[in-house]
Amino acid sequence: MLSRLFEGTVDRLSQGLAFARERQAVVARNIANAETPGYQAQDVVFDDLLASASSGGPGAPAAAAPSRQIPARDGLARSDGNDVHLDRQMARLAETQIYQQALVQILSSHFTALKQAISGRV
Amino acid sequence: MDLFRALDISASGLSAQRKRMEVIGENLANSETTRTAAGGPYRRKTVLLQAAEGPGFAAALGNGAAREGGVQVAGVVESADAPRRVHRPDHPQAGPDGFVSLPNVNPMTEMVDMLATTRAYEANATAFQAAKSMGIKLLELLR
Repeated sequence: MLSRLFEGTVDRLSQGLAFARERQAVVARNIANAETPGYQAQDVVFDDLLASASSGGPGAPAAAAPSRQIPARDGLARSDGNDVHLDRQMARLAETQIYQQALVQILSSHFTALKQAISGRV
Repeated sequence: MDLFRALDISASGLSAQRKRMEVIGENLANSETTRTAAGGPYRRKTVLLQAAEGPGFAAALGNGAAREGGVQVAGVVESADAPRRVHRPDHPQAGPDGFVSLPNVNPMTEMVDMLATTRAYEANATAFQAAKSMGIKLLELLR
């Protein structure tokens, strides 16, 4: 009964948060290795897995791995074999941050709604 | 905790760039040093950076959630370039031909490296700040 209160919205949103955390770590690693010869930039993808989890209907089990890493392929590598493009990484950093803030915002208002329903006060 | 992994990674980038800056400072400070403990003029040093593999990297790859480290300093190497030879017969360390060996440090190269290091440090600091504010945002859920 109680677990049904949280499945669906909360589960999906927390998967999104896990993805944001994963992506933040990968972007941080790319930035840390921006001057490492031979390093290849990585990125994290999430969308296709979310789609496969969502298509199974509300009762479908959440995907075990919400994200996976792929090479970022932002453009040509430098002469030292490093293909980190700092501008792209900074854009991703900002993107991830805003995405995470949006998720927290939605989760927070969801919890507020639940609390109001429980307490009966508006 | 997982939340702090991004912070650790950015911190590793910060300390690697700081080490780079130290070595650049050392190169500039010794750009006219004609004698070292090893004998001969000072030789330009460069920091070798290497992507660090965190614990359980291979195992974690399987489920897509790779736990990787950031960057690490693989070592500091001395340049093998020939020293600058300058004709200064009055120099106490000049050879019989009147030439003195000066360090193979080019201040211009060091300045460019210094700019690159500063920018890389800033980028890591920004990533650190972003991870920190994400963590703080998450804590707001508890309110």
